[in-house]
This record gives sequence, structure tokens and C-alpha cells, in this order.
Amino acid sequence: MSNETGHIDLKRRRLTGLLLAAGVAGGFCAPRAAFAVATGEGEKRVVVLTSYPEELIARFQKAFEQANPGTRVEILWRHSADALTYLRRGGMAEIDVYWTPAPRNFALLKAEGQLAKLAPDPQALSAIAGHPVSDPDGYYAAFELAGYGIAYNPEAVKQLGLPPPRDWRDLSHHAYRGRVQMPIPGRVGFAPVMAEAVLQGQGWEEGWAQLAAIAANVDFGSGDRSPDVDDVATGRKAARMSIDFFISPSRRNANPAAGELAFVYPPRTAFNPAHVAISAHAPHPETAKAFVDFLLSTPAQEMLLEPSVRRLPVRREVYAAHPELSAQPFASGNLAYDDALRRDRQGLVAALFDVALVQPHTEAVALWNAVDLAWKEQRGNDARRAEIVALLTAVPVDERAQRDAGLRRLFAFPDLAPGQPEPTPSAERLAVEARWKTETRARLDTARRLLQAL
Amino acid sequence: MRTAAFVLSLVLVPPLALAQEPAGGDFSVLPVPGAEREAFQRILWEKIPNPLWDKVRSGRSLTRQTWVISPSLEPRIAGLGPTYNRPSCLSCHPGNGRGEAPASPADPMRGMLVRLSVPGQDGHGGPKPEPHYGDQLNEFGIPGVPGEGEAFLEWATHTERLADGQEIELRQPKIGFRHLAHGPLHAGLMTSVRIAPPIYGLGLLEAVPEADILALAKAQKAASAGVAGQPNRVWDAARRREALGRFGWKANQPTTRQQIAGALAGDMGITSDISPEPNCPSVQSACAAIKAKANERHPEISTADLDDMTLYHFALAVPDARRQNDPQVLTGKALFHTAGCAVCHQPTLKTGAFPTLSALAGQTIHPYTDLLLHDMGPGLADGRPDYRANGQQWRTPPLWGIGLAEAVNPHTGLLHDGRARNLLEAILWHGGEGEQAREAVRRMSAGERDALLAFLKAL
Ligand code: HEC
Ligand code: HEC
Repeated sequence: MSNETGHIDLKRRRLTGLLLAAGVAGGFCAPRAAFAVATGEGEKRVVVLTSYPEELIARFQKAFEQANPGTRVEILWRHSADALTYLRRGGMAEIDVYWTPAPRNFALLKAEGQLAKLAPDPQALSAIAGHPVSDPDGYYAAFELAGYGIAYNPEAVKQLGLPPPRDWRDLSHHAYRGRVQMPIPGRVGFAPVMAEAVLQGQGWEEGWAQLAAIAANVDFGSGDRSPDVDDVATGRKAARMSIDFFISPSRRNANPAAGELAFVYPPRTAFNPAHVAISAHAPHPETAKAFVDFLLSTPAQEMLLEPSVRRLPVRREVYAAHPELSAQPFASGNLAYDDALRRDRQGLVAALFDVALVQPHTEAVALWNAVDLAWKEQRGNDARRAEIVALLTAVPVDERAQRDAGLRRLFAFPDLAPGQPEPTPSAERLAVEARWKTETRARLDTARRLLQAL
Repeated sequence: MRTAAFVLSLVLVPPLALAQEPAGGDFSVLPVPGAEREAFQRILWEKIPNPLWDKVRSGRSLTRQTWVISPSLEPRIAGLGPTYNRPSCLSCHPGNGRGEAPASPADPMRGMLVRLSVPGQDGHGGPKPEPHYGDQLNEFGIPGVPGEGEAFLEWATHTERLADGQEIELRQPKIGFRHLAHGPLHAGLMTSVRIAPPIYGLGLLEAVPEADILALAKAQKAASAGVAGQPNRVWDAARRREALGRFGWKANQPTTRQQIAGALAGDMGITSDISPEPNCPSVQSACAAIKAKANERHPEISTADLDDMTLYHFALAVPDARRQNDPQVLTGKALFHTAGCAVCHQPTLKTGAFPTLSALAGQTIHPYTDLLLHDMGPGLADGRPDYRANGQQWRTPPLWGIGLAEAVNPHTGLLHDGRARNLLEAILWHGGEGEQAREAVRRMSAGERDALLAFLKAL
């Protein structure tokens, strides 16, 4: 059986029948390892495109491979915009499964006829406050949910003399000045959904008012441009608007010692689904189906809760089995978070955030400080104060105007090809932004005058 | 022989009552109770100059990144392949910890790799790559490029008997290959199967002056007690000269930066200023075709990004030892010295100057390594030379943080190929220069052995 290379060529068809080269004795004086070479029929394979972090991928990859001996999960990785470009340029024939938090891509690929229908799974089709998390037509199914809320450092919050935050508006307390982080849409991948959690949960105008009031406590430094929670973990910042999975559950309910983190879900917040689908051109449709069935199975959904993964399952029965979970996405009274709405206006929201909150930030904070001082010195009455706060928290686009499809389109993010530069903003867009800036400036000026008159 | 070991150990036994200083000097941190699985990811921000924070963050996100196949909208993280093992550093170093060997021949290697070579040396005295497969088997190819094949492990077991009658089953891997894409492997093939080691504390080890390590080798030789570590001398590509090897199971990398560049190139197919050429042996035509494509951009990782990844490694704190005043741990510590473990697993080293991150300079550290190569006997041998390391030599791995290995990774695989399933098995595999120490452990009473293990688990 020895071939001319001196290695053993077994030409076995099945791995189970594998023999290995003899000659490796046990004991401490075994000779160096011998080799066996097996040639098998093409092994079974499923090619999966994802943007999940490696630790999550590895957990499911290993569990699936162990449950299906001989099958290999091959991972291709791309962020959502990059993935869409790749899939539209022939990638659908190279992958079997698309598995990722990118609801827009699933909706587009379905509309473009690129997805195969899944066997409907009634459990995975559940809805949050009436809003379905999976595709009602069965082309893509929810796999997990990302919950939005407040990460905070209990010790730091205590030192500010405040109770633990419960809702977004708690972060607008002036004691938090300079101690809160708020991810900037356009800078941090999850920030657009974060902003929508407030805008949809509180309504457009009240939502912007809350965001503006919280922004007074933010410094829009590097922490607001990155998804990391380091600054809260170390106590430099007291609280941060965040996704739940950035905070490990081991620390989520931790006893409040310095450096540990807690996380709270506001009463009405977003639980945004991530999905899984099979390509209509999958090279390995059978293993693809097995992989998707596995991801949606109860054991895999239970694995989502493990500390290396820490995501929220989509199967309701898992919540029933885990009453200790602070997240209850399917509880009644939750926000029916609408991600299609987020997508439709995310360019607009990002631009408004920039013009209304980030650009005039230094000036706005100075005015907020002046308001606090006036209040402390008991200058002015409640009505006047309310008037000033209203000026500091108003946005240049009201509830009715934001509905305008043309306006939303003006700010929509374009889909780019690799190497293609960001398009320069249109003259029309620049004109709208200039108007917003003028309006914002005028409001701040009025607020300043009112403050000086106190 | 025994007397010699005893004399040597006398010199090495520390006063027991002495409170242990932090494992990594100023760069140590106790794990947060309940969050031990993050113990290898802690960054001591307050010890890092503020202007470097963004670079450390950037290095962390690149180390955690799963890399993307070119072309991509995100060229910064693109360049995986043409062939590769895994798409992310964390695939093999989960939680900055160690990789696991597959339990059965049906399972793929997910946290380890196989080095390949044939007799001879490359231009710098390193291993000579296998002509068709290069110096490492890459299981995966990007679409259009076949993966090179799959390696698997089959385990042979045997039982060891300790002096008190306790029996311990040990397992030893045999390597096999399947689905080889480019024909049979070379007749003179040599292989080395290695799991990924943990990646904290490397800045401190890099900061230990070369002269101190060479002095240790000299002292071991002079003691002539059966232990005589040798420095590896390897090629330092950045400085274009030979240097002391410090990293990897055979100390075949001189610096953290070159080690990371080596991982990017060898494990992920990403080119850098240290490894500017994609690794495509000429028979691999699909791979070579990709390499020849005009729109390929090399190096795929920028110099600044590779620097950031390196800085992130330097910024990782060493987990501090725990339960240091527990009587059992103290007994175990004494046994660690009397058994001769401390000769190779040097408890204390001192760092010299370290301009890249001056907080690492001038520290007294407790890594439990001498960074030297030791002949560990035929049982552990891979038979594959690596620069000056011969087929039986391995670098003493640091033991700091080893007690947290199980909390960080859901397995307890130890030694270069992950064969040991716990600390005792790892010790029982010590042969060659480690044989005396192993025999000392074999002779211990159960209580003494438990104490020794309790000491290791407290590190
Ligand atoms: C395929 C698995 C694999 C991947 C992927 C991988 N490594 Fe490793 N890593 C290893 C193995 C195996 C070793 C030991 C190498 C040796 O002994 O030659 C190692 C060694 C190291 C070391 C030296 C540690 C020590 O104490 O000597 C560092 C640092 C390191 N890797 C960093 C990285 C980084 C950074 C990445 C991503 C760019 C990475 N690795 C990707 C498997 C991997
Ligand atoms: C002659 C030098 C030498 C002596 C003496 C020695 N070791 Fe080791 N030790 C090594 C080397 C080299 C390795 C790595 C071997 C390998 O991976 O194949 C190792 C590996 C280990 C490991 C596994 C580390 C890891 O990261 O996988 C442990 C645990 C260990 N030694 C403990 C001990 C203990 C306890 C003693 C004393 C009883 C001891 N060693 C004595 C050289 C030594």
C-alpha cells in the first residue's frame, strides 16, 4: 500500500474506514509521527456568508460539524454593504447560506428573486408587538434579535448621585454632563437603529428632543465613533447607548463593583432581527437546508445565550425556559420596531443628527450649562425654562416633513461598487442642509438671548 | 543526579512567606470574578499613554476582525487568501486564548495548523518549504482556488502508572491528510502540528534583554544538572539580521510584530511589509493566477495597521496569580521548585528598555519561562527542525495565566499539539531534559500532586 512517496495512500472512500499508518507505539519513546493519506469522495460542504463575529460563528460552525460528521462549514465574511455588492456580482452562485444582521439585504435579495423558499417554521415566524421578525412569505427567517438599551457603570452612576437609569430620558439628567456616550449614525454601524429605537419608541419630535437633551451630556469623542464599551467599563463614562451583546452577561447582572457593567432595556426599545436565508443558486442546497434547520432549532437557539455568543433567541419557548433573562422582546407593550422605516429614512436621520446635534455641539452644551446655572440660581420661571429647552431640543425637520419621500430620497445612502468613491452630495442636498444649519443657529441664538435676559 | 537537582532547587526555592508580586509587574490585572473568560483580553488603559488609545482600539478591532476576500468595499480588511486556514486571528486564538486539537479524525482542525517542510534550509536558515504545498497546509481557498487539503489527527492512547498506583491515560496524535489538491506530499516530508497558544504578555517577553536569556542558558549549562536550554537564532526580517527567537512553540519568531505578520501571511494569506508576497507555490496555478492579477494590492495590510495590531498585543495585561496565600498553593509552589520545574519555567525575569510602550520597561515579571529550547524527548518530538531548534526541542512555554485557560476556552488542551487534556497529562509528557522533573512528579504522593496542580491553577 505504500506509494513511492513513502506515505500510506489508503484510497478509502469512507472516513470511518480509515486506517492509519502503523508504527507509532505508545509510551514516552514513540518514534516520530507517521502519515496517512486518505482520498475521499468530495466531502459535504456548506458555504456561508456572514458578518457575525468569529466567536459566534465558531460556536455554531463547530456544533453543526459535530452533529453532521464529515460536513464542513466554510465561512465567507463581509459587512452588509460589501456583501450586497458581492452577492449582486455573482456571489449568489458561490454561497449556500446568507446569515447576518442586515435586514435590508434580505429584503432586496428576496425582491430580486435570489432567495430560495424555506420550509415554513411557525415558531421562527413569531412577531414582536404584531410586527413579524421573519419574512411572512418564508424567504428568510429570523435567527436572533439585537436589543438596544443603556450600558452603564453602576459605581459611576452612584457617584453621580443618581439611581440606575431605566429609560432614555434618564440619561438627560444634567449630572451626566460629559459622562454619556451616544453612537453617531454614519460612524458606528448600529447607531442608526439605536437612534430609531428612540425615534420610534418616543415618536419623532419627542424622540429628537430626548436625543438632543442626552447629546448635551455627550462629548462626541472617539468613544461615540466606535462600538466599544471600554470607557464605561473603566468608569470614565457613566453610561452609553448600546446594543446588549456588547456587554457580557457575566457582567450584565454583576454586583456593582467598579469596572463592572450593567445593561438595561428601556420599556419601549428596538429588538432588531438578524436573518438567515438560502441562495436560490446554492451549490449545496441540501447541506444549506440542514444548516438553516439547525440554526433555527431549539438547541441552537439555546446556544445563543452562551457567554461567548450572548444574543437573544427568536424562539419564544427559550424565554419561557429562561425567566432570568432581563430581555423580554415578546412581552406585550413592546415597541413594534420597524426596520424598513429605519432604512427608508436613515440617511435623513444621520444628516439631521450631524447638523442638529454634532456640529453645534460645543455651543449647545454651553447653553445647557447656562440653563442649569439659571435654574440653580432660581432665575426665570418654569415657562421660560421650558421655552429655552424647547429651542435647544427642536430639530429642523418636523414629523410631517420627515414623511416626505423626496426628502428621504435626497439623503439615501447609495450602494457602491468596490473602489467607487462616495458620491459628492447634490446641490439640492447641500441647500437643505444649509437651511437646517441656519435654522439651528437661529434657535440657539434665540435661546442665548432669552438666557441673557433672565 | 538527584543530588544535583536538589542543590539546584535549593538555590531556586523562594522564601515561602514572601508575598508574590504581580505576574506581569505593573502590567498585571486580577480577573473580574464571574468574567474570567475575558481574562486574556484585559487592557490596562491607565498604563497606556492617551495618544495611543485609538491605535490600541484599532489593533484590537483588526485582531478580532474576520478578513474579507478582495475585491471589497472595505479594502482595509480585505485580502484573505488565495489560500488560508482560518479567516480571523480569533478563530484559532478564541478569547486571546488557545486553540483546540480535534477530538476525532472526522473533525477538522479549527484552532491549529500543520507546518510542512522537507530536508534542507531556506535562505535564512529556516525550514525549507514543501515544494507543492509550501510551509503550511492551507485548508481553504477563496472561490476559484482549491484548498490545499485537510489534515486530521488520529489518537493513540496508552496508560501511565504513577508511583502511588494512580493510572493516567495519555493520548498521542498521528497526522493524516485527505483531499490533497496538488498531488502527493514530498517523500521527505516533515510535519509539525501546533495549536495556537495564548497571546497576552508578549510585549513583556519581548522586552526581556537578549543577554539575560543567554545568561540563563549559560547558567543551566554550568549547573550540568541535565537541563541545558539553547537559544533559537532566527531571521529578523525587519532588522535584516539574526536574532534570538522568542515566540512560537519552537521560538521561531523574534518579535511580536513578525509573529503577527507570519500569522497574517501563513494562516490567512494576508501580505504585509514583512511578508509582501502571496504564498502560492508554483504548481498551484489558480492561486498563482490570482497573485498575477493586476488589481491585487500588496501589501494587503498597511504598515500602520500591522503596528496597531502589535501595539494591541503589547497592551494586553497579564492575568495576575490568585490564591497566593492558600497553604496548598504554597506547598505546590515549593514542590514546583523542588521538582525542578522552575529551572526551565523560570519564575522571574526582568524587562529592559521598551521604547514602543515604555510602561513595559523595567518590570519584574513572573512568566515561568526561560524562552529557551529544551530537548523534551522522543515522545513530544515532531522531528522537524525549525532554525536552530531540532526535532526534539521545544521552547518552554510561559505558565502565567495557565490556571485560567479553562475559563477562557472551553477545553484544557495543552502542549504544542494540544494532546494533553489537563495539567497532569502535560507534565507526564515531559521527557528528555524534563524527565527528572516528570519522575519527581510521578513519585509524589497524591496530596503533593494535588498541591502542585493547585499552584499551577492559581497562576
Ligand atoms: C490557523 C490557526 C491560527 C490563526 C488563524 C492565527 N494563529 Fe496565531 N498561532 C497559531 C499557532 C499554531 C501558533 C504557534 C506557531 C508556532 O509554534 O510556530 C500561533 C502563535 C501566535 C503568536 C505567538 C504566541 C506565543 O506565545 O509564542 C501570536 C502573537 C499569534 N499567534 C498571533 C496571531 C494573530 C495576531 C493572528 C491573526 C493575524 C493569528 N495569530 C492567527 C495559530 C493561528
Ligand atoms: C527541561 C525543561 C522543562 C522542565 C524541567 C519542565 N518543563 Fe514544563 N515544559 C517545557 C517545555 C519545553 C514545554 C512544551 C512542550 C511541548 O509543548 O511539547 C513544557 C510544557 C509544560 C506545560 C504545558 C504548557 C502549555 O502551555 O501547554 C506545563 C503545564 C508544564 N510544562 C509544567 C511543568 C511542570 C509542573 C514541571 C515540573 C514538574 C515542568 N513543566 C518542568 C519545559 C520544561
